[in-house]
This record gives sequence, structure tokens and C-alpha cells, in this order.
Amino acid sequence: MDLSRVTFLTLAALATVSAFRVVTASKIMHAALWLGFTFLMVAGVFLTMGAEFLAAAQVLIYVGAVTTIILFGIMLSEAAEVRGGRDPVAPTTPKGPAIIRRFILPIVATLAFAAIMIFVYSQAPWPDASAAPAGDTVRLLGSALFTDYVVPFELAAVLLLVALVGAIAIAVRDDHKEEQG
Amino acid sequence: MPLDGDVGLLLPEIIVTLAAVVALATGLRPQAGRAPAVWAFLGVTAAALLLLIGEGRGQAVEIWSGTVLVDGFARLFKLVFLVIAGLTVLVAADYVRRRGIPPGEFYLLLLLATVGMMFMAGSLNLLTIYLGLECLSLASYSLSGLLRRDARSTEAALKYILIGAISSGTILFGMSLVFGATGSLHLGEVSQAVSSATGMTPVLLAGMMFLVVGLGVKMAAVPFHMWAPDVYDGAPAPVAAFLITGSEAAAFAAALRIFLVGLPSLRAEWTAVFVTLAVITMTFGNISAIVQTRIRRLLAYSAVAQAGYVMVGLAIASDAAVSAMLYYLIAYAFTTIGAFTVVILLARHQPADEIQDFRGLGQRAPLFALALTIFMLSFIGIPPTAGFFGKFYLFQAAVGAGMPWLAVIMVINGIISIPYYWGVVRTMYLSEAEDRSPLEAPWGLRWATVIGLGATLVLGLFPDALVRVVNAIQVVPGLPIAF
Amino acid sequence: MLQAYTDVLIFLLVGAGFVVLNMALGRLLRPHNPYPEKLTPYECGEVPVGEGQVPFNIRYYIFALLFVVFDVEVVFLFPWSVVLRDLGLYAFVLMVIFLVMLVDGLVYAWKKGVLRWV
Repeated sequence: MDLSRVTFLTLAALATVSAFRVVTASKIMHAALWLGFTFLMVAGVFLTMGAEFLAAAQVLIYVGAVTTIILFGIMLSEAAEVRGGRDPVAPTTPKGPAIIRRFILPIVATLAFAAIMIFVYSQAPWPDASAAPAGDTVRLLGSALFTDYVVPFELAAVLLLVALVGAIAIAVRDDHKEEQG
Repeated sequence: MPLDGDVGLLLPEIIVTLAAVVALATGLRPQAGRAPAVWAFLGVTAAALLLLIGEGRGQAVEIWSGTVLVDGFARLFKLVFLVIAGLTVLVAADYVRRRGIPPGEFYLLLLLATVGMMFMAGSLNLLTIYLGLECLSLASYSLSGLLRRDARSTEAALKYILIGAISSGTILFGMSLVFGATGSLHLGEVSQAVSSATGMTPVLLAGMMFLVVGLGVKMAAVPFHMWAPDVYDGAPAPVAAFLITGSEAAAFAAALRIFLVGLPSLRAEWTAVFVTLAVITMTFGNISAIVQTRIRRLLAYSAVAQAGYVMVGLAIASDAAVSAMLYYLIAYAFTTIGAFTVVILLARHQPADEIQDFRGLGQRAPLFALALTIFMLSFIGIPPTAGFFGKFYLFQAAVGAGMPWLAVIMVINGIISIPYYWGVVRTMYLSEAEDRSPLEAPWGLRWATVIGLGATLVLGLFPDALVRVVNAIQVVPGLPIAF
Repeated sequence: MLQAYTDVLIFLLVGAGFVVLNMALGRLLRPHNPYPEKLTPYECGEVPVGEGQVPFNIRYYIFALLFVVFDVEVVFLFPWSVVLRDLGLYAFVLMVIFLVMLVDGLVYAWKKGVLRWV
């Protein structure tokens, strides 16, 4: 095994373990921080595959912005349990049917899904990695974005506008216009 | 820059986007009045007229390096989306002001959702389709939650955003598997690569299943329908009508393109999946609708059942089935918006959540009660309404494709659906209302009802004109893949 | 490809190692004498009042939201700036359209009063 393969597997394993911690952490704040770590490891995976710009974008958007907004969402919550104050959701030990529902079923579903996907991936004659375009990925991406993918690019602007207006419309209270039933 | 970057053919989308921004701007003024609604309506009408009389009719062209396709299929669907959006504006104008929904935001989100739907039907590129879908989805989540003091509306938005986000992720994963197996985002190239590549079948099958599940959520197919009753019941009523008709039609448009153009080689597999889903969806929807006591939950489960019927067309996917599907979607859009208009009208005067609230509507508003009766007949599929021919053409397609048992299941489902639709009609005419005061209708609601009723009857009495149009539609454009 | 990032990896390892080393040294050398007053959270020498985890103002959320949207925009600006010289006015116009859409959203937020801190 060469160095890049070792790096890839290490980063992927770290990403998987931290993703597992996201769903098993008892405090939601810890889950959010683990999620940020997962994003960072995924950025590393992108880097090992030569997608430098994607890795930078991943750090900038997911680690920088998305994790921040999730943490804000937790801190803004009015429920002390969510914020992780003195009264976190007590990790109860489930009994009886709850064991099946909370432990066995998720594990079986995950393993079955993993088995199917590994089978699917192992069956396919994937093209060689060398076929991927090498060199200045930012320039390649830029020229693709502004020649072939102009319409999706502008559509992304519309999408961002929808997200901005939609989120503000839901979150901000309009004090002078009240609902009348 | 792309040599085929024709801005003229994108003009309808551009006009709707500009109208959305203008509606937002006018809605910010303290005394906005009708201005945002008027701008939104003008934008939608102008775009629809441009599609009807504009350049390039009758031909199929791919522009912007194959990220946009303008053909008969795209044109028809865009027109349907614009008509749905226009009717929603008519219905919503009064509702938005009475319920204190911020008008600028409402019309911007409505119109940009429409733009998203237009791109879903107007492209063979998976990236464009996905971005259109996201545009539609994000706008729908916010629209569902715009009644911020209504717990049901908030619940609807929350459920929709959680399930919708998972469905978007599923679709994206499916698209990435298809891209990984074929090396292209363009559905035409995907189908070519599929036919020449060997050994990629497991990956493509996995991708296909993810796409089926993700789009199934958007179509409200059972078992991916869990969000639908809550959203259609809790969202602002005009938004619910818009989502049932527009969002669902857009999901079917995208599915037709993806499966018929991109994955024709897996036809046996996706036909089997869609037939199963269709039977489960229509049966579950109809049986669940029987026990509903809230009118909009009834309409929601009815929408699930109708999605099952439409999916029969997608499963068979012959020319006749696709035509029947298009006819059904169009007929159903008018009927649904019409039915919601009557619900909104009654809700202006009194609580109109329960079916019991419709007692005595036959005396209080005879014309609207008659209209709702005809809409219910159209949902059941009784002539001379549009719904009859929609179901009839689907039966024909099922029998023609050698699946008569599917037609039998559809008939049985039609019979199951009679009691609950008829229950609404009976309540309107045979029960007495406490409050007998006649209902007054603002002109927007009146016109929306007239258009819905007119279209339902005209399509039911003279189906030939629309049949000719939908028969000429081809899902797979006869285009050479030029690059 | 990956060799270019060996420096980064070494830098990260040295950085992490520095922290671990100093913490370990500190633990070995310092006296260990905890008592309750010393263990209270530090609040400028005062006795802490109330909880540390209070709900934040909802306005932070709007700022974070605007930040995410314009963060995504910056990601698009980067490849644009690289190819701008080759593609010229055409790419410039495309980016102007993109930015105008987003500025619409910003103006909306501004007019809506969510940028004011009252």
C-alpha cells in the first residue's frame, strides 16, 4: 500500500468514526462538533483524490459556515435540554422491545445497506484514476462553470435567493402585521 | 462561451424570475395592497403567452451546452406550471391579505418555485434538474410555514423540510451513482453509455432505486408519503393546492425524463418497481381517505391516491400511457385547485377544517356547492368530467400494454373512493347549517372556481383537443447527441 | 499530487504534538491542589451568576444565515477570478447577474430590518 492509499483510508476511517459519534453522542452540542470534524475529514478525502478546490470549498462552506449555523441553532433554542444545560437528555438504558428498535434494527439496517453498496461497488469495472483531469482544477472548474454550466450557475443564484428569503420569512417576526385567524 | 446560448428560449423563465423580484420589492412597502399579486400574475401570464406564441414552437432544441432543452414536452409542462401558478395567485390574493402572510415573500417563493419546476421539465441535464428540484423544494418548505402563528403550519414546514432534505440527498446520491457509472450528467449520453458499457448494471440499479425513492417522496407515493397529509393539511391552503398539483407534476416530469431518456435499458426493473408502488399508493391513499374527518386531510389522501393512478402511466410508459398521464395531470390540476378554492372560500367566513363545516353549503352558496360537487365527480372519475377521461385513457393504456389486471385494480380503487368523495357532497346538500348567511366571494376566488370548473367540464365534454396535443408530445426528443 | 501536502501534514503533526507535549509537561511539573472556589468558572473574579448556557438572540441566526449564503457566493467567485482574464466581459456579465440576485436578497434583509441590532 502506498502513502496516498494509507492517507485515504485513515481519513475515511476517521470520517466514519466521527459520523458514528454524531448519532451516538448524548449531548447535541457534541454531536454538532463531531459533525464539523466529519466535514473536515471529508475535505481531507477530497484532497487525497486531487480535488483541491472541492476540499477548500468543503472547509469554507461546511466546516466554516454550516457547522457554525448548526451550533447557532442549538444555542438559540429556548429548550435547556437542547442547549445542553444542566439537564441533558438522560441516556437511558432501553429494555425489551426498545433494544430491538434502538440498537439491533439500526445496526442490521446499516450493515445490510453497507453490504449491498460494497457488493455494488465491487462489481463495477471502474475506470482508472489516471483518467481524471489533472492540473489546475480551479481553472478547469472555472472554465466549465462559465461555458458549459452557465444555466445551472445562474440557477444556483436563484436557489440562494430562495433560501435567503424563505429562511428570513419563516424566522423573522413581523410585528406590525399580525394574523387575524 | 457556448455557441448555442440562446437567451430568447429562456425568456419565460427570466420573466417569471424578474416578476418574482419585483413582487418582493413591491411587497416591502408598508401599504403594498394588491401590487405584489398583480406583478406576480402579470409575470406568469406574460411568460405563458410567450410560450404559446413565442419563437421556436414545434421544434426540439438543446441550448447552453445541453443544460437546457426546449421541446414540446418542456413547453407543455411549463405551460401547465404557469397556469397552476397563475390560478394559485388568483386564489391566494385574498387569502394572503386576510391571514397576514407577508405578500412579497409569498409571491417571490411561489414564482421561484415555478421557475424551479420549469427547469425540472426543461432539461436533460441531471445538474439542471437537481437545481430546479432544490429551488422548488426550498421554496415549498418556506411556503408551507408562512402561517407562523399556526402550529399546524409550522409542523408542516418542519416535517416537509426534514423529509424533503432526506429525499434531496437520496436523489443526489442516485444521480451521483448514475454519473459515476456513465461519466455523464446528460441523460442522452447516459443512455448511450449504458448501452455500450458492460458490468455497470449493479451500480445503475442502485442509482435507479435511489432516484425512485427520492422522486417517490416528491410524488407522495406510499410508503414515502408520510409528510403529505400533514403538509397538505397544515400549509396555507393555496400553497397546499399548488404543491399537490405543481410539485407533483414536476416530479413526474423529471421522472419521465430520467427513466425514459436516461435509463431505458433498465425498463423492466423500473416498470416493476413503479407498478408495485402505484398499486400500493392508490389503494393505501383511498382506504386512508375514507376515515378522514378533516376536509384537507381527505383531499391530501385523495392526492396520494391520484398520484398512484398517475404512476400507472409512468410504470407502463408506452406512448399511450404517457399521453394519458399528461392528460390526467392537467385535468387533475384544474379539479384540485377548484376544490381548494371552495374550501378557501368557506374558510373566509367560518372555520372550514372539518368536513362537517360544509353542512348546508348547498343553500348558502349554491353555485360553489355545485362546483365542488362537479370537482368531486371528477375526482371519482364520472363523466362528463375531465377526471373520467383521465382515468379512461389510463385504463386503455394499461390494457393496451397487456396489464388488464392493473386496470381492474384501478376500477376497484375508483369504487373504494366513491363513498368519501360522496360524503362531502352529501354533507353539503343533506345537512342543515347553523349559519345560513350566504357566502360572498372575492373576484379572485370566483374566477379561479370558474376556470377550474370550466376546464373540468370542457375537458370532460370535448377531450379531443387536449388529446391531440398530448399525443404529439414525445418524452424522448428526437435529437442527435451533438457533443 | 499528495506529496505537495506532506508539508501540511508535518505542520499539523508538529502543531498537535506541541500542544500535547506542553500539556503533559505542565501536568508533570505543576502542583496539584484543587478546592471548590478554585474550580468555579472564571468570570472576572466575580462569583458567577445564572447559567452559562442561555438562549442566544434570534438575530444571530439571521447573520449566520446571510454569512452562509455569501460564503457560497465566495466559493463561486474564486474560480471566476481565475478564468476572468480568458473569458473577459462575458464571464463578468454572468457574475454580475449572479451577484445582483444575491444583492436582491441582501437588500430585502436590510429593508426588512433584520440587519438592525435593536
